[in-house]
Amino acid sequence: MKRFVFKNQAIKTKLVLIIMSTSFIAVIAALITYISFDMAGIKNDLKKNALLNAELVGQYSVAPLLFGYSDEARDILSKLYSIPDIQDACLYSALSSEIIASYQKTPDKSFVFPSLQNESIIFSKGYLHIYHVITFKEKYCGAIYLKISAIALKDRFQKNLLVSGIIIFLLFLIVYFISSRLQKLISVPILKLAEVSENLSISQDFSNRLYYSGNDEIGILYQQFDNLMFQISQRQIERDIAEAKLNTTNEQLHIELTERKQREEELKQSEGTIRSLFAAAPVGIGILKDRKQTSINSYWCKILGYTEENLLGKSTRMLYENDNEWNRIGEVLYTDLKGKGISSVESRMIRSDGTLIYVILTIAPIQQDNPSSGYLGIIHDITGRKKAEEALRISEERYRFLFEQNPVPMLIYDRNTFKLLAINEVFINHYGYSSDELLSMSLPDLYPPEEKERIVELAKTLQSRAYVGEWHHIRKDGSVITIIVTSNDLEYMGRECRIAVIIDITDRKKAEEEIQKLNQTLEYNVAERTAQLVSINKELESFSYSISHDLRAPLRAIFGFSQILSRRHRESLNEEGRQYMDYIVEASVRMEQLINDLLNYSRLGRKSLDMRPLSLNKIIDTVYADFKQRLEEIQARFAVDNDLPVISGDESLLRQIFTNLIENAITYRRNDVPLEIGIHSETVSEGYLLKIVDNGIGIPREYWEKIFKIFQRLHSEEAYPGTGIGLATVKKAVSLLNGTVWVDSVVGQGSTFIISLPPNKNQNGKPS
Amino acid sequence: MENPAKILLVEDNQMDIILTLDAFREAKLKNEIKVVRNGQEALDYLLGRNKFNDRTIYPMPNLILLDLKMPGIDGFEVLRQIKSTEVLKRIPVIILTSSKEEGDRTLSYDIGANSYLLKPVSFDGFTDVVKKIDDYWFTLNINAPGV
Repeated sequence: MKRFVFKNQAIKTKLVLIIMSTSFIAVIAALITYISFDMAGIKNDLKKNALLNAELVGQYSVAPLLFGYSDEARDILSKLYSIPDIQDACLYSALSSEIIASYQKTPDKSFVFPSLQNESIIFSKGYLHIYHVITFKEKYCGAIYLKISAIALKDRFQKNLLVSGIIIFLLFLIVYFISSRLQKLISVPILKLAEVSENLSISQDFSNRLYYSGNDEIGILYQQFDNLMFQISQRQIERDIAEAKLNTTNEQLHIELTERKQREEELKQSEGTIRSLFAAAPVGIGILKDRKQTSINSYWCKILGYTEENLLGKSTRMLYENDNEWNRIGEVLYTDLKGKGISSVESRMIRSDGTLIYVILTIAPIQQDNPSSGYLGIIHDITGRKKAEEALRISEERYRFLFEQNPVPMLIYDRNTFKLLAINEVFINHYGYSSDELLSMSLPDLYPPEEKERIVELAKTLQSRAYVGEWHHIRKDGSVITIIVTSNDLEYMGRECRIAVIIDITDRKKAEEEIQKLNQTLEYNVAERTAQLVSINKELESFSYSISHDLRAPLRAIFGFSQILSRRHRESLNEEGRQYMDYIVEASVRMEQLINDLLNYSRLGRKSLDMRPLSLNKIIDTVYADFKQRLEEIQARFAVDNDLPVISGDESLLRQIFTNLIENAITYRRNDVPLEIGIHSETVSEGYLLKIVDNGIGIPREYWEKIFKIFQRLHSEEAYPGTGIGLATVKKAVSLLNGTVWVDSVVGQGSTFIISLPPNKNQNGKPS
Repeated sequence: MENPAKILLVEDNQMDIILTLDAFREAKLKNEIKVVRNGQEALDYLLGRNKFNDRTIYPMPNLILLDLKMPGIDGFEVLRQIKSTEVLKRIPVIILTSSKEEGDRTLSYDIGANSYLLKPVSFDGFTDVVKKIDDYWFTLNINAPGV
């Protein structure tokens, strides 16, 4: 909330406030005076009235007081109920000053009547207390006390306040209305003056005039203000004229100044350009007077290998090989100059380190019509260019030699017209055309008709890349040759060309074709032979299978009946007969073993393979179960690594392999030591190695391969029983699993059978 | 079992017949064993045809022992016919052969053989096999009703 500050208020508000506050003070004073007088009168009336009542009751009570009749006195006091303002009353006896009778309008036991006091009227706490002495015939008879409610006084005061409030409010409205009208008489002209002066300070226009009809102080103020404004406007006009003059002068001055600055800037810039050109130009620039170097740039020094101090003021003679050259240059340059105003010449100069450089010298007089002002000299080092030209010449010579003397045919043709532009000596000899014939031919002319179109299509696409391809060419005698051509871009005699190297591979092609033919025949022959062999093998296998199979029936008869005979009719035979019968039974057992082994062996070849991932440990566990009893009987130790791999294989083949190898180890064990069989594995890059190790009798080295062949036995049937088929079966089963098996052994110490199996590549492999 | 189970032996080899029968005798088994010598006879017997039309002499067997390799109608054909004939198909058929061939085994089971046994080479082996047949098929195994 903004604080109300009087001096900041509008003049209108100030006037209204002054008028209203003045009126308000007057009214309040009048009302306070009125209410004071009124209340004093009322109070006086109340006192008089109370005293009258006290006197009246007192006179009635004289007799009871005198005679001490308190009952009579109480009767009299009880009459007081007809005056409603009297609250309490009591009578005091003259003799004892004691209360002899009392009255209460509303009985209140807690109220204690005061003790007798002197004649008095007291206002206290909204009540009027009266102590009045009762006399009869000027004789003191006692006293009376009355407590009268002063409520009438309070009511009257409240009424007065209400009326005053209403009067003040009404007056306030009227005063506000009047004052807000009256204030305009003063405030309007003052406000207008304020407004005009404010406008002036904004518009700065003092030509407006003010008019006021009154002749009071405001009128005088207006008059003075108007005069002031008139004078200001006069001064303003004068000032404007002077200012305009000043501006014009200023502008002219400014234009002159700008032009001068611009000229100075241009001059500075041009000088700067020349200076930087002089300093930074990648050519040697110097100013020469009488062929002495009076000023040189850093490139001049750089080209010649000197510092600036070494050269300044020195004659240019020091830069040349000898006097003759210096003189020649001087003559050529300065004579030439007379006609053209600028001249140049090529020469050689010596650097500070003695090396020669090739240069182009150029001079021009600094002031055309005044040769004594000196010459501007320029040295342009062209040594690099000279060297490059030389290198190019040597390189070109070398390439020309390479081209001309190359032992293989080479040609250059125009990439756009396909015209042959150059051919080497060998080309001419190889193709049989003369040089002139070739130079009138274009590229496709060399190709057989069926390749012409293709070579043109290809040649159009060859650009910015090397190409190697096999094509055919026709020689002059019409013979076709097969070639390998290598080509690449070459700029030759200012034209876009391709250079091609040609290798005749006709002979090689022929040789290759022959080899290929031979190979095909060979492959066919091998395939045919393999098929034949496979078929023969099959036949053999099925033959041996049916033989073994059909052998079983008669064997069963021999075996079965000999067993019956040897059991039931043993007693009817003599010793010899019994002996022979036992031989028959024994032979039958071996025969059965032989047939079984043969059947197993031949069955392998006709078996369909069921390749799947198999745990070798599980397979060996099952195989071991079959041997467990026998191994325990001979107190053999059987140790298998428990981390044998899981391989892809056929379960029955793997079982066959391990069964046969364990059977083998048992058969060929040593009698003096308990048998030990160990099975271990190794993972190698080619797959797995499985090792079946025993401590048996061992195998001499010369039999290491033989033992895997069918019916190959090292020992007599009596010494070591066996059919000579077991290891052949192992070898066959391993090869069906795409593996190999071999043996490593020390006679008298034991053997290790090693099986190498491929890694688990084709888990769903079918037999090949 | 009041009536010992009846067996039909289908076998063309005389010596194998004798060995089989002798093995039953050796094992002290009282089964009534009827023998037929080829596939044709086997089917005739089972269907009660021709000379086998008297069931009192040629009773329906409780088990058939069947050789595979026989001249004319071979064991596979006999098995196929048995298993496709309503009144015969629930009789257990045991293949008794000397062939361990994969193909033979697969085909036999495919067309419904109940068991596949290898003919032993020794007499002791035979005796052992017939004992086990009796043990399993007539003591332990429970046949289909009516067999």
